[in-house]
Amino acid sequence: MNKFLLIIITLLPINSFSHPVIYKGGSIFQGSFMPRMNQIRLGYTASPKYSFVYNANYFENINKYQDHTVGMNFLLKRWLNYDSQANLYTGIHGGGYKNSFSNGKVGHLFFMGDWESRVHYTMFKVKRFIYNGETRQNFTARYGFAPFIAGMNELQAWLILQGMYVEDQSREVNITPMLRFFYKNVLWEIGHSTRGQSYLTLMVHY
Amino acid sequence: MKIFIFLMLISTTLFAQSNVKIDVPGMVCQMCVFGMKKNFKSVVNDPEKDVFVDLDKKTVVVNLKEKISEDEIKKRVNDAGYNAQKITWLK
Repeated sequence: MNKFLLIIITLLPINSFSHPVIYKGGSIFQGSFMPRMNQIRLGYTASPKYSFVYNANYFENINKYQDHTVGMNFLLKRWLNYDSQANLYTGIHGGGYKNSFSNGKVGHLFFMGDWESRVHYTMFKVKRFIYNGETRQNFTARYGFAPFIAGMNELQAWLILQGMYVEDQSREVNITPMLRFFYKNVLWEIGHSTRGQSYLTLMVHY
Repeated sequence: MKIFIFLMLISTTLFAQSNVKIDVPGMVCQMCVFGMKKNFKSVVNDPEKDVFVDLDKKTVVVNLKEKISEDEIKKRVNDAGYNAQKITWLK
């Protein structure tokens, strides 16, 4: 059962991909929504080097699975060039899950790197999921392109292509084209994966 | 009377509003630089109007309530996740 859950969860295209650490005193609310599946993330950046996070998942169609985890994210290194920036992050989260049949411990460990300018965006993330002794890694890469450059208080759009691969699964890569929009401190993202999963993510920084 | 005038001049100099321009390389996304407004919030009257971020020129212009030290400006920029490369007082 753990293995089945793990496979389903690691294949979902809605894992969080905002910057895990933002600015001192900054908070994040992120909600990702698929049909009968919801994911919530709350984060507070206490220092420009680390943040505290709470994650919750609820998948009604997978035996009413839910989990709750808390943890910390760290900015390992930031490179600031004139018109681009690159970052390396890590994070560790732990908590518990339950479903219609069982409950237990759950944890995540990730490393993430990104590089972005005002026109291009790339990201790579390795995430390890641990469910009651069962572990699985997934690998995610993204490339995004901004068709136009908007000013500070204007709507910014991005076209993004995401590929996700889960080790020990079929060699298929789950591809998700998506649209991302920024307006001031609000981001929303919609996508539809090659596995037929549609999702909407809404994120607010404040 | 002379002392009073002297104190008035000093206080006007010390507590007058100041505009400062900060060169900040690496500012590329709107959401990331929202932290500039947040971290200068306590030293301006209205962060929406008094903290102006220009993503094209990589500058932040801050209309301060009172003049603060350059070290304080650098710290606030660092807390926003960036580095202040150059600080220019506009008035």
